[in-house]
Amino acid sequence: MGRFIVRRLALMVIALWVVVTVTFFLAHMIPGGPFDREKPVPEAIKKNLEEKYHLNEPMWKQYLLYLNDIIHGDLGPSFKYPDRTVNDIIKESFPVSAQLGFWAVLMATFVGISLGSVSALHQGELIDSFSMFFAILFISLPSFVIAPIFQYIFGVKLHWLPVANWGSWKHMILPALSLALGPTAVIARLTRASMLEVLSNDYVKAARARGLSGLRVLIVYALKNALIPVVTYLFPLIAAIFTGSFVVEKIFNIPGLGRYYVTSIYNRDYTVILGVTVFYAAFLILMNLLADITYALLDPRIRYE
Amino acid sequence: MALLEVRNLQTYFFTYAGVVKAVDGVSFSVDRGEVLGIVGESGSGKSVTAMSIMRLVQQPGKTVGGEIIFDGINLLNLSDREMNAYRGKRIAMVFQDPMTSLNPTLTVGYHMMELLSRDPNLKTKKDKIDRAIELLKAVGISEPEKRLSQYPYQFSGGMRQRVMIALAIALNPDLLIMDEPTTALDVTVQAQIMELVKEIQEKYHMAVIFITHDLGVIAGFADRVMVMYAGKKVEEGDVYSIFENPLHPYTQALLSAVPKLDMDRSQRLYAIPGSPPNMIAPPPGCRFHPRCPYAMRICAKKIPIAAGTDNREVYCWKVFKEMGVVEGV
Amino acid sequence: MSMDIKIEELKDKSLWEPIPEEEKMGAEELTAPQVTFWGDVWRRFRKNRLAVLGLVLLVIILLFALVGPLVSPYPYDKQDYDAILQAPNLAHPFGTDYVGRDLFTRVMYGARISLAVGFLAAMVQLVIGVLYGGISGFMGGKVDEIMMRIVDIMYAIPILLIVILLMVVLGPGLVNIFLALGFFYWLGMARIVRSQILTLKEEEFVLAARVLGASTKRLLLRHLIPNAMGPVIVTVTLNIPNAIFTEAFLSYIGLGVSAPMASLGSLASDGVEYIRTAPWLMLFPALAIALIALAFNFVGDGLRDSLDPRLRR
Repeated sequence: MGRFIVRRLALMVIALWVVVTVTFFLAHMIPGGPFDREKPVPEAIKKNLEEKYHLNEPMWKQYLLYLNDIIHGDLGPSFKYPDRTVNDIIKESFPVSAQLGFWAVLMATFVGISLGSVSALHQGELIDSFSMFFAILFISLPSFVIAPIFQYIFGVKLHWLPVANWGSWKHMILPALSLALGPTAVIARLTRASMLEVLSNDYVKAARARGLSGLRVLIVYALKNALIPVVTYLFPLIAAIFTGSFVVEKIFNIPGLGRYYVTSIYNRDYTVILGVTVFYAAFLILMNLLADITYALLDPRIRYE
Repeated sequence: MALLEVRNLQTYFFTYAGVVKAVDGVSFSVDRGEVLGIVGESGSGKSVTAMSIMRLVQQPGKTVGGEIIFDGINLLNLSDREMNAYRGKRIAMVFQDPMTSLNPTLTVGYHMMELLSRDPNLKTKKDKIDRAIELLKAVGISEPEKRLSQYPYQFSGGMRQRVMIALAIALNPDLLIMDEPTTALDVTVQAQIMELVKEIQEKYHMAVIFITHDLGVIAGFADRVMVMYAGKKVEEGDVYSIFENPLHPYTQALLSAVPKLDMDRSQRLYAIPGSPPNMIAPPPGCRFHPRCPYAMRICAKKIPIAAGTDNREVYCWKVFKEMGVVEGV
Repeated sequence: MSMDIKIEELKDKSLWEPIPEEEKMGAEELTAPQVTFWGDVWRRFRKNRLAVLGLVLLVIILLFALVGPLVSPYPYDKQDYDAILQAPNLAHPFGTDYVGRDLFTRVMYGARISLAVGFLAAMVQLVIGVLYGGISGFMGGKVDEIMMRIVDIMYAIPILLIVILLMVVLGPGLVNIFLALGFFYWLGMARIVRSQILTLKEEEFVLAARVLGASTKRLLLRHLIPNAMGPVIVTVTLNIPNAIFTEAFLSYIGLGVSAPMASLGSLASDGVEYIRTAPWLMLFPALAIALIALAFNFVGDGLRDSLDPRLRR
């Protein structure tokens, strides 16, 4: 277990380093440099930026200084909003994204696992065909397609829920649903496949032959084992929900980090794009690491490797 | 009255290529304390017979006819809940592959405690642990206290099969079904497990149905032997007469396929010609006739009827003819 | 059973004569009719209604995307200020946009781009992914170790973010999307092919071919690659919608193809602004994306189910 985590941790650090390095060099590849744009930058800001990015220093030194900043968690200033740093933006807007993401993850997990198990237990029956048809349908609908459709139907046409903006729990339903439906479908399919595989295992047959109750066989033997791959998928799922939030937050005008990210892409606010990219990358890589550790915790064969 | 009496059991698999009659009208019985060996090639229906008795045949299979009378009660008429009370407690089963028969995410101890909680005599947790340790000792696992907290993958194949046997006998069942329990194991381990099975059977005096494709394995263990071919019983008798005087050509072939120590080196081991039949469209008449060296015209036309004396049953037209029942032929 | 046989019937002496060897119902006739592996796959695929529906859908979409723009009376970029924001009608089945362009033509163009992206993703997987994974699995040892570490690291990197960054740097445009996607789309495939090769290497028929002195090239072409085909095809098919989504997503956030060219993603993105007044502008491109993805998913699922030998009964 210890060795396993150390190996994964090393992989994570390398991946993070690769992202930071790629980010740095891509930033320097931007034609004409990141800060020479059509309109001249105020002198004070330019100075600030040059200081921040040490633009007068040789490239290798700039790189090392940049690495040093990142290690200390300093992601630099915004180019468009000079009075704010990327750290400020994240601190302010990430909690909003996290709240939205939390509900979406919760919904996707709960509904997905339930639907998947029920389908597996009724393989080939109407409920199975029905839920699997909807699963494949929602897998084929990206969140940026679902979101405006929901907005139109439930907001514009039916007036059941607010069309956009952020505030009460009512504002959360449509965006969370848009984010959750795809992952719900993926989890349902994954659970079903995993469950069917486990159900065909000898140890399930043997448990039934020992006369254990149906419920016990289902939960302790089938569901528990079937959920291992599902739980490990949970973290990549969180990643998927957060990248989905880029567009959904934009569509519903939610002041989360995703909307800031997309806005800064529209505005070509390079320093924010780079800083937030590094932040998201670190977040997603961390999720990957958590997935690996969970897997090791759930499956004793890996734990004692 | 026999402990188990199976009458005209029919278990079919409804695949989309057609109906496979995996067990097609098989009858037999097992007395208390008796060991019945069921022998046949893979696909002969011996495992499906076992699963039918446990009522654990999976989709698309279904037991469509017959009776399974256990201790005076037809198991096929029980509700699922009632049947569940029989499993593990009165009829236990050991499967072929010990590597996959235990839940990889649960400790061996968990498997045992879970089962022992159904024993009303074990009231406290300590009672159960003591009993689990006693059982592991009984199946020859050393350091049972330590082993309880270990996971299945920390056990070798032979050790896992010992655990499976311990689980099977934990609630003192009347009938123990063993489906090729040694096939997946190394030869030396096979011998040890067979020793253990014999010892346990004698000690607890259980009835055992021992399923195997290898006649040699049960020679010194079974009281009676039933030979199956393509879903049907072809011969049944006590173990000595089957080995001394096999009557059905298929049994004879099976026996000559077993290598013997006193065999001349230049002698070739006998192999049954042809391959097992396609079970969706089995041969008409006697299912063995395409591979039978003595096949007669009637064998391709009519299903053989029982021939033989008390304690001996053979389904073969050749044996029938030699008995002289039909005059003039 | 024994009841319906009468002793009388058995008295016919001819019944008791031996059957000549050639008259026996030979084992050959008795085994199931021989079908080739792919014949069997096709037979099962055909029985899967959704899979066939997906295939038909794909053909129709392909026809519309390739031929549609050629026969459409409106060029994709032709603005018509007399026909601004028209609702769907006979002349414009999907309506028109805010500068009077025919949405139907533009959606067909967008579908072209989506399919091109899908095709590219398939190619990248089939060429780079299969080659990389194949070499890694086949060579084994140190080479395999190093090649797989590289994949592990790249796998841990959030691809979409790097693609976004690349697009920011390279600038919007179809070629750049191809480049950015091409960098990453082979990773999963490389892993799958490698594990397939590793499993197959242990299989007896490959060992047997080795023992018989088959050359490495022959071993690869004759044994390993055909047997690893199944999972490869399924993975390619099921990954195509992801690539199409990624392009649509990039176009949606303004990093994809630039105006007046249209991708389904940028069309949907443009349409969102008119959701109250002209919902069809968003609806039709969105439905088109969903339909394409649905078709590939149906086909991919069908292929997986019919290729999986465990499902064969």
